[in-house]
Amino acid sequence: MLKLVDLTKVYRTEEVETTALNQVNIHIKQGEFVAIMGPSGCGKSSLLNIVGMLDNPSSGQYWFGDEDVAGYGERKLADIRKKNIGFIFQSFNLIDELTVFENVELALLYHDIPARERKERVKEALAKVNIAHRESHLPQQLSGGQQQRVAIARAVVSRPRMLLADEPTGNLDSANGEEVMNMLTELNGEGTTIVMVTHSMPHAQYARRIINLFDGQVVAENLRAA
Amino acid sequence: MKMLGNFLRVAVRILVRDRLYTLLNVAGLAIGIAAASMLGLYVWHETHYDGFFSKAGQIYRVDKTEFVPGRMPITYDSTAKPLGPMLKQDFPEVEAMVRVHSESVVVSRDGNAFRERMQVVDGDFFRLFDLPFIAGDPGTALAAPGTVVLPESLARKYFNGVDILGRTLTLTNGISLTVSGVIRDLPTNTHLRRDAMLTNIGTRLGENFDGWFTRMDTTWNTNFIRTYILVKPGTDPAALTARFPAFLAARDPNYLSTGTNKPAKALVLTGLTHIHTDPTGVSANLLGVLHGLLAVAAVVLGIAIVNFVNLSTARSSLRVREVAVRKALGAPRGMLIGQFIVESVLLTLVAAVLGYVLLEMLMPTFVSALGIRFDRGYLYSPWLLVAELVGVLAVGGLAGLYPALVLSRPTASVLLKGGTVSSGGSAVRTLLVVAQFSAAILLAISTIVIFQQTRYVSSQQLGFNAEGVLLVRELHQPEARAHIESFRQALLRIPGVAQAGASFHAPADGSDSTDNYHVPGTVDDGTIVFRSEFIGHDYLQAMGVRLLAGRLFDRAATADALRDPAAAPGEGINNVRPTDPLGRTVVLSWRAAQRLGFHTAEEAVGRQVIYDVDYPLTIIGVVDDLQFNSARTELQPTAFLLDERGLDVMAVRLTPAAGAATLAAIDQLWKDTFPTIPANREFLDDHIRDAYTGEMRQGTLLAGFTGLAILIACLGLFGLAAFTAQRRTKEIGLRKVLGAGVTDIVRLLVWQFSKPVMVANLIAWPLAWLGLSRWLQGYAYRIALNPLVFAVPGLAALVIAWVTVAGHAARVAAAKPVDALRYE
Ligand SMILES: Nc1ncnc2c1ncn2[C@@H]1O[C@H](COP(=O)(O)OP(=O)(O)O)[C@@H](O)[C@H]1O
Ligand SMILES: [Mg+2]
Repeated sequence: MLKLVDLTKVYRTEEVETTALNQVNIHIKQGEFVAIMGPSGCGKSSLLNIVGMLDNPSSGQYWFGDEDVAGYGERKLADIRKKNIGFIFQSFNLIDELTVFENVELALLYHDIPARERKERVKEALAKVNIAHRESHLPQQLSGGQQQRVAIARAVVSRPRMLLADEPTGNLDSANGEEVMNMLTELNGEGTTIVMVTHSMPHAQYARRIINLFDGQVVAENLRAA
Repeated sequence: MKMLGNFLRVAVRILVRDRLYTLLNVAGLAIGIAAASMLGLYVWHETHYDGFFSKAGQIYRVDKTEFVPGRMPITYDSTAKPLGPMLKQDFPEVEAMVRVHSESVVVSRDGNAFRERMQVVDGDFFRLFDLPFIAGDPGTALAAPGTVVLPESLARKYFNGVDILGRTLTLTNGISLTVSGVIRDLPTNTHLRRDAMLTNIGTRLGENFDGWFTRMDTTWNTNFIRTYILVKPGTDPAALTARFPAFLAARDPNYLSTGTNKPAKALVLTGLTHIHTDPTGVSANLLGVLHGLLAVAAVVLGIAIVNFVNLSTARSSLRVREVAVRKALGAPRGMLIGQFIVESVLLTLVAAVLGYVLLEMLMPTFVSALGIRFDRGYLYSPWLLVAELVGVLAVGGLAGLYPALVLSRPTASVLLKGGTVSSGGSAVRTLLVVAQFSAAILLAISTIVIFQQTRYVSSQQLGFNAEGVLLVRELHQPEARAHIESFRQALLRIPGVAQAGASFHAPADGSDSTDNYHVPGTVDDGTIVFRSEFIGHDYLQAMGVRLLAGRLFDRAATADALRDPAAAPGEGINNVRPTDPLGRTVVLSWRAAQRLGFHTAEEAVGRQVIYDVDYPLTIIGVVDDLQFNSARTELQPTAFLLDERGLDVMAVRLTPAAGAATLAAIDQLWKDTFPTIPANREFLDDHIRDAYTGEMRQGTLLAGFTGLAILIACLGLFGLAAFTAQRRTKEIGLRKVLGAGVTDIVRLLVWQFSKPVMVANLIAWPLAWLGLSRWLQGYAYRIALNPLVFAVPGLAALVIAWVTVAGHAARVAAAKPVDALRYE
């Protein structure tokens, strides 16, 4: 599904130059569940952002399907992203002013889907994460776990082929964390490719492959027996 | 003190960091302050005329209101000569009385004749108007006839100095006056004539003047002199005015009380400090204009302040985190409030200083554009500084207090929450933007309508051809009177002169003489009042009026001028008064003919009309209606009467080929024919246009300040858009992650700012419609309000708002989403 070849990301600010990713080579196949681990600042988020086409690498190749998207501009990336990738964030990133329903619907607004179908799909997604009864609530009226379930619904409602999650359980207690992990596993079971960054070894165990990063480089890859 | 230093240091650092915001905020407020100060100073100047006279509160001008059946009462400042002395005699509360008559005299210097104004005044003049003397004694300077008091500039003009007591000023007609005083030139804020000489009311100024002026001592029906009274302290002007009708009934033999169907008059008192702004005659209402300008100033300043508060509060809401951290570290609430207020006041202060600099730089241009007189001294008035300082503290405090109170309230938990993303945009802010744009659109619509109306009015059907007519004035001067006809003949010989004819007055001169007319056999109830225009032969021809039926005056027709203009009144024809026209014929305007009951112009020709009770006239012609006044007044029915005893202005119609050579030849002819009279000529169309300069200036002024208002409102919108773009960065990033394209985002932001502008239109339209309809009511001839005039400024505001916002929107929309989501 995707292949990173000698991928490097360098951040330049006025004073410092930080090499967040250094000659990274990773191959992820359709339907995989990959966890990325490593200490803080080792480049996990940078990697995920590039994989998610939210940012461009400084050098190297990023093969998505049979296209090298490394040098693509924002317009082209947005188009590919929209059709293929869903996101889940550590801090949920729900919009305050929108209801639960509207937050999820947002992911379909830019997809040319008729209103009726949109409504059905939002309801379906909300039901899947067990939050349908709260659809007209505002995010602030929900607990952290509930908010993250809404975020998952939002990420999957557009039926992406790949789901990227940056520390999805980082702000949750262990019970809620477990629940989120179970949902991701279920989605993976339905065929969605999942790439997840996590600090938690137990949560990483849900994935079939664990990639360890250190100082911007891949230091180990562990396959869990299926 | 140490705390304040710390506040200031942080404030400066933040203001420098947010340069764009600082710039927008300061620039908007500075422009607003400068604009409002300019208008405010001007209005203040105009409404504080004559206040510097030490007895201003006890001085009144006695004005006369005329009630003529069938039209609005008009107040004039001209009164009869005997009025003043009688008032003083009959009313013990009148401490002193001064009459002022302005006569023109000619003084020569180095062989050139200059026309100067001589104010003929009563001896108590300086008791009322205590003007500072450079030389002489105010108590005695005007006590006796034969002396003259000069303002400094005229003293220098004719004597090259001010140390001239006892010197002699000689007029070109041989009269000599002894200089008895030199005063400082009058300041700009007095209604008294500047650059005028002053002499005692008994001074003889030449045969012609003296005879007439003495006759006036006992004449009650000629109103020409201004009368001022100084009343005892504590006198109630209303109570005094209430006793005037009885006084007039006892003193004025022609007095007719109001409330009948006849022309009547009443005396009113105008306080000295109100003279400049109170309308008299047919002059436009200055006070109305000043109130309008004050409203514009308030709107512009209001928009600027709203901007400032809006931008300040918007920016500070981005600092929730900073405030939370400070609180978590134990900063007391008072200190946080202090920090915000210091920042805000500092910013306001910078804006005020900048505004003051702008004011200094722009005031001269503003003053000259308005064509007004203005003392620069007002710029340094302590009141202005105090007002600015109070304004700075108020606006700065307000803009700082709001965020200070709101932001310092929530506890440090803000730091730990932060789970969601806000799209920002408070209701209050939106409301303020709506208010700003409503005001700006309102101003813009008003400006367009005022311009349209002014153009319409000045291009209005005059009933005669004003183009190519030169007015040559001063023919009523004693030296000229006997030579009008020979001068006219000489004019006609100049190449380029097509026709010439004289009249008492020219159109737009503000003359307003009316008489009663009626058809023989009907009852003269005094309700048919026509404007009487006394004219010479050839005047109507020279003006190019349109003849509807009959003929104009003709030298060959003996009935037109039965009497020799030089003959004594009553000679050659029976039953005439000195004021009657020369002949027994009249030319009427179409409206006058209609008013008399004729259905067609032809029907009127040959019929009789009675002028002024018992003087019969034959109608020889009917001409199209003419506009002799400004378009504020309705076309008046007019009777043209032949009278060659008071001709003053020659209308000279030039051929299209006439050029500078023709004008030079006319000037030379004047100089050769009347060497002692300074030439005084102008083009009729310029003269008519002058009558509308007030409106033109109002229009220009409004346009300028409308532009400013819109500019400031857009500065604010630009700032708010920048703020919103920043505040919504995360939300926008999120939307992009979820698939929104660049166009989706731009549309989102532009729409957010279009809504308030559209609502502003809905508010501004009805208000503008109401206000402008009322304004247009003041014109007899007015344009219809065109919906397009409402739509265009509204649309323009929308487009301007789009352009202002679109830049930010596009930039934010094109950014990589990761930049938006990075900080979590
Ligand atoms: N936009 C940026 N500009 C500068 N440096 C950055 C930027 N984003 C990340 N970094 C730096 O790159 C390194 C990797 O960051 P990140 O990918 O966020 O690590 P992780 O998610 O593993 O904690 C860090 O040293 C971080 O400071
Ligand atoms: Mg990270």
